[in-house]
Parts: sequence; C-alpha cells; structure tokens
Amino acid sequence: MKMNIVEAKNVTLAYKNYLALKDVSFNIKKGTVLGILGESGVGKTTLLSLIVGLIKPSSGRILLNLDKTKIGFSFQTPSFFDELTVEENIEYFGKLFGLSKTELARNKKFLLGFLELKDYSKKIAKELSGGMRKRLDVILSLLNDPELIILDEPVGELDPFLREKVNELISIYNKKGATIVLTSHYLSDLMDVCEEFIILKDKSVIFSGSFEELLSKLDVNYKTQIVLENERDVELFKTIFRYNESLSVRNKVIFLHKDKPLFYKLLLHFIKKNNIKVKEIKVTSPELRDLFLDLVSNKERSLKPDKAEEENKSDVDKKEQTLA
Amino acid sequence: MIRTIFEVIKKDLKLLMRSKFSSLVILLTPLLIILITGVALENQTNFYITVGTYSQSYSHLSKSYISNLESNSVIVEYFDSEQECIDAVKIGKVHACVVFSPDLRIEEKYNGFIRFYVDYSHLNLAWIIKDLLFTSAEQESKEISQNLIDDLISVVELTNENVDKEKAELTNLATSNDKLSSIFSTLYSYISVLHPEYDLSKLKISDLSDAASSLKLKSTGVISLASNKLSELSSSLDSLKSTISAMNNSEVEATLLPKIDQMKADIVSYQQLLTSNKNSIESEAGALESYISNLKSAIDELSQILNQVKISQEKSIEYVNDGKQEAVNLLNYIFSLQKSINEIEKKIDEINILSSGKIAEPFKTEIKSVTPEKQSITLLFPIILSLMILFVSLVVSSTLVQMEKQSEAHIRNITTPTKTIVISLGIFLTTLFIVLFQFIISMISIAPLVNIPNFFLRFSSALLLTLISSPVFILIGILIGSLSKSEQGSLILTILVALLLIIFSGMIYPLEGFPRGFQMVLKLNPLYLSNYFYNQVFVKDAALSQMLLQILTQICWLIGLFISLILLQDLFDEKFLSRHTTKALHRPKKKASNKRANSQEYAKLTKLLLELNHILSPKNKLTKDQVDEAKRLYLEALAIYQKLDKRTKEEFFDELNLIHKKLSAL
Repeated sequence: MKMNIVEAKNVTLAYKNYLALKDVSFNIKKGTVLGILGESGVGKTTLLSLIVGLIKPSSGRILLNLDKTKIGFSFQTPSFFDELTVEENIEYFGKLFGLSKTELARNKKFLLGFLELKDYSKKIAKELSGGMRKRLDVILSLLNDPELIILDEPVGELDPFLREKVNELISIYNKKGATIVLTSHYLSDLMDVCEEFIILKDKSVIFSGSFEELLSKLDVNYKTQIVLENERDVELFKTIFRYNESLSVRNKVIFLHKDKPLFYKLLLHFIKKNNIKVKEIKVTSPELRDLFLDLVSNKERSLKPDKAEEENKSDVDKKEQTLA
Repeated sequence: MIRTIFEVIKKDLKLLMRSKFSSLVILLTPLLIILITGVALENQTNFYITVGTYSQSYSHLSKSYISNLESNSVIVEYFDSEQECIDAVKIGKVHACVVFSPDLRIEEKYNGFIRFYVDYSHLNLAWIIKDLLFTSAEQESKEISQNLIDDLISVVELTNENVDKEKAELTNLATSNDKLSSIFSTLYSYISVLHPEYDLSKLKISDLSDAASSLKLKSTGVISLASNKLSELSSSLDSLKSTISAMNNSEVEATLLPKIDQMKADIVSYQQLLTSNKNSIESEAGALESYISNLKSAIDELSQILNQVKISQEKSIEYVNDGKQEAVNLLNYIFSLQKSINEIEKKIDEINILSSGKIAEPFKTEIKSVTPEKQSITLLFPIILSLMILFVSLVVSSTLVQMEKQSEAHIRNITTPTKTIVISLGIFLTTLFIVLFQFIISMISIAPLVNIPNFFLRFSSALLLTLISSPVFILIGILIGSLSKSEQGSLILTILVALLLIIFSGMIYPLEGFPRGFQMVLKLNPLYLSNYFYNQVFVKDAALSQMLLQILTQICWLIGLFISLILLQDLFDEKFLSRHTTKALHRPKKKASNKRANSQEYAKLTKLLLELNHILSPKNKLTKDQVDEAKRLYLEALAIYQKLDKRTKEEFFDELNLIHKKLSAL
C-alpha cells in the first residue's frame, strides 16, 4: 500500500466574506499522478497553493510527508525572472536549490533538450513566447528532482506536440518516483497521464479517485452521440433519459448511460415516434471530459454515494452547520 | 552560502543592467550630478542676488550703501514704494528689499534707519543675502564710525592737554586754599583772643562825675573862700591903710600905703584871677561834666559797640569756622578733583589706541575658510556625495527587494532551501557594489573639477566611510522594500524616509536651530553622520581618528539594522505569503463575480472552448468537416468573447488566441 505524501483534512479557506474552499479532504498517494478538475475559479490553483504551502488554510490541515524543499511547482503564472535568460534562470534557481554543478548541468541539459528550449537558452525570458515561458517554468519546477511536482495548467499554451512532450515528461518523473499533481483544461491529456482525479465543484471536492471509480459513481458505461439532420429536433431530446445539455452542441445530442440494450430500445422508439431524422449514431466509451461536464455542469447530477460517505454525510452536514 | 550569495548578486546585477532605465540611472546618475554641479559651480564663489530698494529720497549715505552693494555684484532694482518692494520679494522677483529712510544722515537730529526685508523661505540663501546686506551696511557704518571716532579722539586729545594745563592751576588752587585756610586759622586765633567784653562800671564815670562836681564844688568853694579871704584881706588892708593913714606917718604911709595898695591891687587881680579861674573851673568843670557826660555816652556807645563787636566776633568766629570748614571742603574737593583729573589723565594716558580705524574696528574680523577652497562645488561635494549615496542605497536596495517580491519568481525563492536572508544579503551586497561603483565614478569625475589637495589620498578615507555609511542606508532600503506591499508604496516610503533623513540632517535647516536635547538625537541621523564624514574628509582634511565617535555611531546603526533585518525576515516572508494568499483569493473572487455578471456568455464560451479543444486535440486527425466545424465554433466563441467585459476577456484571451493559432495553422 502506497503511503500518502499529502493528506488534507477538512481544509477550509476563507478570506473575509469570501469562501475559497469548503471542508476539503483528500489524500495523495506517493508516486501517483493526480489530476484536479474543476470549473475556472472553483479553487484548483488555490488547492495547489495550499499543497505547496504558499497559502495557509483557515481551518483544517494539510500534512506533507516530505521535505518542503523537495516540492517543484509550476503555476499558471510562470515563476522566474523575466530579465534573465533561460539558462540564467535555470542556473540561478539550480544554485538556490543547492544543486551541485554536475546535477545542475545534467538536469539543465536534459530538460532544455527535452522541452526543446535549448536553442533559446540565451534568450531573455521576457522575450519568450507564452509556450516557451510555460516550458521554462516547467523546467524550473523539475530542476531539483522534486518528490512532489505541482503543475497548474502545464500545457495551457503549448502546441499539441509539446503537450505530448510535457505529458511524457510527467510520466518520466513519475517513473522516477515523483508524485505529480496537475490541473489542465485538456481533460483528454489528464486522462492519459493521471491515475487518480479530484473533482472540485462549488468549492468542495465532490470526487476523489480513479476514472473507473468515477464511472462507477456516475453509473455510466456508454456514451451515445446522435447527429441530427435538423437542429431544432434537439429540443425533443431534452425530455428523454439523462440528456446532457452541456455535452450537446448544435445538432449533436449526447447521452451517457449504463445499459446499452434498454437505452437503444428507448432511443429508437423515441426517434421513430417523433419522426426525427438522424444522420449518425455513434456509441463510444465515455471520456473523462464527458463525465466531468456531466458532473459539473448538470445541477441535477449527483454521484452515487459510497457507504462510508453515506455514513459520514450526517457528520459533514453537522460540520457545515458549524462552519456556517 | 557564499556561492548562493554570489549568484544572487549576479542575478540582481543582471536584472538591473538589463532594465535599460535602471542601468542608465545607475551609470549616469552620479556622472550627471557631478558634471552638472561641477560645470555649473566651477570657480563660482558668488551668488547672483537681486536686491530691491526704496526710499522717499536717497541721501548720500543710502546712495553710498547702494553703490557698495553694487560693487559686491548685487543687482539693485529701484521701486516706487515700500510695498511694491516687499511684494517683489514675496513673488521672488528680488531676493531682498532694502528701505532707506529719507533722513538717513549721520547727524544726531536725524533718526534714519535702514530696513531689510528678507525672504526666509529661501532658507540657505536668506543667510547669504542677510550676510551680504549686513556686510555692506557694516562696511558703510564702519567708515562713518571711523570718522566720528576721529572727531572724538581729537576732542579727547584736546581735553588731555587742557587737563594737563589745569592740573597746575589746581595745585595753585590747593596752595591758595591752604593759605586761605591758614589765614582763617590766624584770623580765628586773632578773633578768638579778642574779648570785647569790658565792665564799664569799672570806669566809675559817676564817681568821675561826682569827683568832677566835687572838684568843681570844692574848687569854686576854695576859690570863693579864697576870694572871700582875699576880700577880707582887702578889707583888712583897707583897715590897715586907714590905720596907717591914721598914723599919719607919711613915711610909713609912703612906704606902706603903696604896698598896701599894691597888695590890694594884687588881691583884686587875685580875686579877678580867682573869679576868672572859678569861671574857668566852672567852665572847665562844665566842660568836664560835658566831657564826662560825653564820655558816658561814649562809653555807652562803646558798650553798644562792644556788644556789637562781640556779636560780630561771634559771627566772625562762626564765619571763620565756616570759612575754615569750607576751605577744608574746598581742599577736599580740590583733592577729589585732582584725583579725578589724575584718573582722567591716567585713563587718557592709558588709551594707547588712538587710531580711529583701530577703535572703529578694534580687531579685524576676517571670515576665512578652514580650507583654502572657496569654490562652491568643493563645499557642496560632501552634500552631493551624501545625498547620492543615500538615494542610490535606498532606491536600489528597496527596488531590488520589490523586484524580487513582485516577481512571481520570489515564490520559487521561498520554496528553495535557500533562506530569504541569503537573498537579502545578496541584495545588500549588490547595492553596496553599485554604490561603490557610483562612488568611484563620482570621485573620478569630480577630481578635475575641485581643487582639493591630496584628493586621491582622501579617497581611501572616503571609501572606508562609504563602506560604513552606505550599508546603513541599504539596510533601511531593504527594510522599506520588505515592508512595502507594492513598488509604488516602496517608492513613496523610500522618498518619505529620505526626506525625513534630509530634513533632520542639517543640510536644509541647521541642527543648531533645534532644541538642544533634540539636537543630540538628530546628530545620530545616519545621513547627518554620512555628510559629517565627507565634510571632514574633503573640506576639513580630518583624519579618521577625529571622527571615531561618529564612526562608532554609524556602525551601531549598521549592527542594529542588520539584527532587525534578521529578526524580521521570517515576518516578512509570512507577510509576503499572506499577501500572496489575499491576491490568490481575490483573483477567483473577481472571476466569480465576473462570471456572475456574464454568466450566460461565460458558460457558453467555456463550453465552446472545451468543444474546440476537444476537436483540436492532437489525438484527432481532423477531417475537413471537423476543421469547418472548429472554425464555426471559433467564430461563435469570438462573438461571445466580444460581448464580455475586459477582465473576463483577459481570462479567455490566451486560450482563444491559442485556438486561433491552431486554426490558422490548419
């Protein structure tokens, strides 16, 4: 059993009248790649800052089972000196981290080469493009071979190729034993690299676990996409089983469902009855993005509670009342 | 740690040098200051001062005063009224106003005045103007005073001569008075021995009168008796004669009768004589009586006279005594006068300075510089150097701290094993390096402009003192930078602290103008000490040993500030993180509020972007339809984006821009 490198217990963060995070509890296992999902402004970066120790919680606690200096991070805003060159920034922070010349040279060579910044190593940081800046920030976050790597939107401004490179880098460091916590709007990327996920909604953690656990909790096995000939027919589908508006765009209607035969029986019946002209019907496995959008944007959507959760529910209610 | 500090210094220097403005400021500021002041003040010892003047009528004296001012390179401007002249000072048209009374003359009957109006708001200039005006007035007044003293001295000399002369007369007067006094004494002895008292009864005038009467009586009685006897004798003779005749003896008759007749004739003549004598005696007795009576009257008169004499004698004695006393007093006066005259003479003799110039100006007042220099630049150099070091130290250190803190990189600094104090030390040494660099530039650039002997020998002392003073300001700058939330706040606080240090450094207003107790405190001002050091080294050519106390005070500041920085470092880190928390928490709050404000557009745009990202995912090999679809979605997203407020637009810009680039690439 993997040990927890981070343990967050009932963490609440409030500032004046603003509640940033509400009673958040989760554990991050050592050596895991964890993705944090949530809408913009839900508190993902705040949560990462709490883990790094840049923000102190108002209540609750975050335990780090590692030396604080063994954390590497890259937040949305790059943390380096704009007036220094790429190389100078690397060397400066390398020395601040106390790396030996050899370690520094080795890491610098590897990271610059891997993230294709070698040709720009003499360039002043402020002259770099957004993607390059992001890459430099990622390099700095990995420079000291950290045990815990926090990456906030690491591929935000990168082209698909470099996104792949970063994802690969994440895998490399993970293989080296590092625990990685990251956020990204590219949910497919998260799906590729993350073993576990935390989903935030309304300032709280609504899910923490693997993708399979998420599927199980959402009670979903399939994703059916129907492309309609007539866009106005979309409205008709709103009435039927688990239609998700946020997943549906223009003439596309997407359904997430568990049982295949029953669903299709109902669906075909509905199409026939309403004389809806269908261009295409595609059945796939649901992706993380689908589940996330379904979970986050659908107000009525709720997870199937665990037994333990059910038991704890009354306690949580009590705690909320106390906080209120 | 040294390696890390060296890295921090290297980084800070790079940061400063790569900011064109900062490097320009660092390199050019000292050169600029020194060059401008040097060129402007080289060989310049005078100030260009304009003085306004007004008088109802300018006397010779006032004209002379004005020409004196003009000869001192002062531009004199004439005004039609006193108020105009004052107003001109107020608006800065002239530096001072001099008002002469129309009766500004030396003569005693005139009460002339010179009134100065000086603008004290030009604090430093006010003293120069005041000095200039008063020096001119003093010069003028000295000349007048010298003339007056000349007159006075000639009078004194004349008096001295007269006193000499009169001193002999005074001796004569004393001698005469002595004589007079002895006369009075003699007179007194004479008068005092007089006894104008006589018992006139002793004269027994009544006895004399009685005797005279008795004599008269007895004389007349005798005479009568004799006459009677003579008559009896005559009768007897007649009887004899008859008898003889009766005897008829002729012979007898002849012999006796003529004799008897003779005798009878004699008796008759005797009788007549007696009668005559009696008459005479009576007359004489009458005369004697009259004489006695006169004598009595005379004695009475004499008695009166004697009384009067006595009274007079008494009065005379009184007067003589008074006279004697007066003579004594007079003598005393004479002695006193003689003494005074002697003293006056002595005093006059003691006046060994009889030159009017010497009296009008008993000693030559000469204000000389302790150094042979008079160039303003030389005198200003310590101040310029102190201010430059103050500002460079404060501004560079606080700016570097702010650059560090405001940079997102500082978050990474905090999470490295390197402690923040090491970074602060790096900033400290970087700033010190810059200050020393500027100091050297200043010294090199000022050297040809000033005439300071052994300039480069003093350089080493000044360098050492800079190494003591500058760190104090650097540490203050680091504390300011660490305390301030923003660069603006840091700059304002830096200016404020610099201002306070300058105000209480004696550079603007002399510390001697403050209460004594306060002065002692103000003399601990590090800027005062810094200025003191440079002044001692460059102007007074003092050795370091002469300023040991001040050096120790500055070192105490240095140690105190350094300890404060170490103690406060953790607090600063906490404050930084607390501010970071606030910032981090405010950011989503704004987003959330924006989101609420644009909730529909926000949701639509998020959805569209997710869709676009999904389509443009590198895993997907895009068909033409997908590309068209992506373009259509992008345009739709763009339309929504344009409806958003500025802040929300910023939030979406990067993502939208990236999608745009991706689409363009397709």
